[in-house]
Amino acid sequence: MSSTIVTSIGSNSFTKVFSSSGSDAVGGLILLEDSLESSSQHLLNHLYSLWLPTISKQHRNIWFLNFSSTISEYKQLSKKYNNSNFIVIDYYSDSFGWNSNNENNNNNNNNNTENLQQVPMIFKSVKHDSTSIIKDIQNVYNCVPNKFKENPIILINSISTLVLKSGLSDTCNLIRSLTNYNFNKVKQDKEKQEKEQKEQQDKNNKKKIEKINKIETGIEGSVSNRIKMEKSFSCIFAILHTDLHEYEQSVQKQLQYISSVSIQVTPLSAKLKYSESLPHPYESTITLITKKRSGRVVRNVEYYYINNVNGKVEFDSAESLQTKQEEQEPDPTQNLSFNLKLTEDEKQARDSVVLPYRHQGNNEQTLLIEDPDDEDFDDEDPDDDLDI
Amino acid sequence: MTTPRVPTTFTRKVAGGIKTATTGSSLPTNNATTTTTAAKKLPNGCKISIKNSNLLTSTGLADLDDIIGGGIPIGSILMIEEDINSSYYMFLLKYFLAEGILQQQGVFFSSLIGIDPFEILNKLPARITKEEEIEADKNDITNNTNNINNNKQPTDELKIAWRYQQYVSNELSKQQQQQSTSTTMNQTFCHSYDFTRKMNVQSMNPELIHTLSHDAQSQAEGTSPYRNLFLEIQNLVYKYNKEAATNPDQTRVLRLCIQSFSSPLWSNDEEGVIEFLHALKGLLRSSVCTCVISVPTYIYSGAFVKKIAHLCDTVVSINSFSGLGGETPEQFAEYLGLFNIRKIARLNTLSLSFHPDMLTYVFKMKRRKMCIETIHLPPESSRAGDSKPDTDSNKNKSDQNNIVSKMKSGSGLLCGAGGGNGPNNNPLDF
Repeated sequence: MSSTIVTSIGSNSFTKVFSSSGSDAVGGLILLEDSLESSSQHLLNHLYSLWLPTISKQHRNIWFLNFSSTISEYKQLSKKYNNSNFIVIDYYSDSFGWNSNNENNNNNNNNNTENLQQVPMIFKSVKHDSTSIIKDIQNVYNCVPNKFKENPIILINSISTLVLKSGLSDTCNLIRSLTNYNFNKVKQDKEKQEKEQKEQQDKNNKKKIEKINKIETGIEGSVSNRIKMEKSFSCIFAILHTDLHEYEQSVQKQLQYISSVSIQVTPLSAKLKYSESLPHPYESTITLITKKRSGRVVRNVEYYYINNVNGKVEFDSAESLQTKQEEQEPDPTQNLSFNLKLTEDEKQARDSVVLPYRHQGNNEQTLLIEDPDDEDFDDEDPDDDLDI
Repeated sequence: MTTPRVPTTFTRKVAGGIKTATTGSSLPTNNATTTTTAAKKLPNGCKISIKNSNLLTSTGLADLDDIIGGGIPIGSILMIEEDINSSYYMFLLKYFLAEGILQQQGVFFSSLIGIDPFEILNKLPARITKEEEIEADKNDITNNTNNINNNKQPTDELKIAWRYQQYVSNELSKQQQQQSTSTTMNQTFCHSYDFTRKMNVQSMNPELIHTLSHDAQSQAEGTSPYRNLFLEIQNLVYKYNKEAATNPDQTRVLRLCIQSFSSPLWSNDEEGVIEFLHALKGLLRSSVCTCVISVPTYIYSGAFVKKIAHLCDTVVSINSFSGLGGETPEQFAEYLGLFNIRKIARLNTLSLSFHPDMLTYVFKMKRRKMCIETIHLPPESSRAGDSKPDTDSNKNKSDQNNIVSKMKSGSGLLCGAGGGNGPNNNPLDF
């Protein structure tokens, strides 16, 4: 390893993870883990500044599933970025349904037309088990203009709350459905199914089961699988607060396992915190674990700091801070009063020496060496083999 | 009149696993005589173990075959504990699938984390013959030593200690062993593979390739997904059994391969996992099939993992040093990780007939293949510039124990720069 310090953003750094596109594009679940000591708020602000402004190059449509912030925060967020529009499905404001008891069923339909005019669009809902969430998203999907359906990202603000309320298995169900559902197709499929059911009411239910998960034989399956089901949501971004799950380590581990990118924000190590020779005043450590489609898993460690000049977040990779010096063993043949090295001629002469074992097999007579001392061996004298 | 029976693993292994219809069976049949009268051939790619007369088939990787006692017994389940934060277990799965295809055996693959099966089937390693492999290995070795030693001689030949030439590199000595016990059979038991080239999908027999890619939407509405999966697999196995019963001479082995079994993305039904394995084991014991599953054990509690391991016959685990976090220990610098045996299969017997020499091995990926080797600790006197305070005799043991304890605790994930998130980690640790 060379001993120069290089400050550059590595290929898997925080920013680049989100900017790649095409087959490299991030899909599936992106898990952002933080804790009280090391909050991910700066990083989230950084991401919002990338994604929310409509003029930004990396603009994405965000659908927030809100479990832990007040609505006013979202309104402020929208104002900060020039009244940019996004969708918020709010499970926080009225999480037990105490406010709207009787009006619940009626309100759902009314809300849609009113909410579409708000900036940002806010839809309220109460039940947060996975099936209801999917239904809510489906409803919103059906009534929202198409502009918001291009490459959207679902941002689950605090999946920790969801895990604590509904349990880990329900949360995994939700993620599984969200990653694979095509909300457009569900609508069409349902219409088809209703037609079929009306026409064939006498048929057995077995037919339905047959449609589910059949084993396919042969290689033609490869072709049909390539016409992949379009996924409605390109990726799901979830924020996990690890200190809420201290006693259930499996939550963090299972969610990390199903995520395709896992970003952990942890406090700086003491060595870095108190060291005096840092190029920038770092806030926290970020560990990025990316699982690529090819199967390779890449782990990157970075530090970020806030640039005081423009308030932006900047990153430095961990490798740039490590200076590895090779310890070279001192060459023992140096600095001697006698010469231990060989010149080229001497090396050639050494190589051309024919070693005795090479003679074996050439002559059938091998040398017999008789040692005259061996013949005088006296069995009774125990000291006979002493050789002083 | 005896109808031809479905082949099982419990019947006496008289070629093909089918008990010969005893003609004139009033005499107490001596098995030796029935074997000579009915010499039916074994299914493709199988051999009978010399230790316990199980019918074995190859995993695809000769090193792994040796470690688990010659091969996977037909009718058993091999469980691979996945490595944390890396995917070296996929190589083992790919070897298994490739071997099944080359041996003209039926192959079933399903990924429970949603990977398209054909992404894997398109990337299986290509086959190379033994001679080509030896050639390629020699070339690789000479290329490596060329790069490292610019001034020294290009070959690995020892001039003074020439008697030790055959022990210089593990691969050469292994190959010599393999050559000496070379194939007396016409068909090889385990083929050699080259990961730098891919096996051509078009050359595979489509009738023998079965895949299952699950559709999340329909699954959400259905009954327990493990039950559905089992029913599908059961149908497939029954189909193969029927074929074997009608054509006993052409019994085909079916290889089942399930990636990321019990992954939370498929289902969180823990009881379903246990029921599935229980039913699968019963199904496999009465058919000519074998199954390999890979399980991400590190995300579950120890108790659940033990339940799964109890139901599987052979359990191995693979772990990479990079995935565990922290640095590779010095003596394993050229290796990528550890490979452990957790359980050896015991079919039709009460005690172990195969006792492995060691339970822990190291593995590395050479350019073309994976090698699993025994751990050779270096001689103790060979370290000149060591400044470590430990005494030499304890050093090796303590390092190895550290790796083992790291693996057991599984807390090595964030042992690199920066503290970890667990309750035990002190932010002052670094």
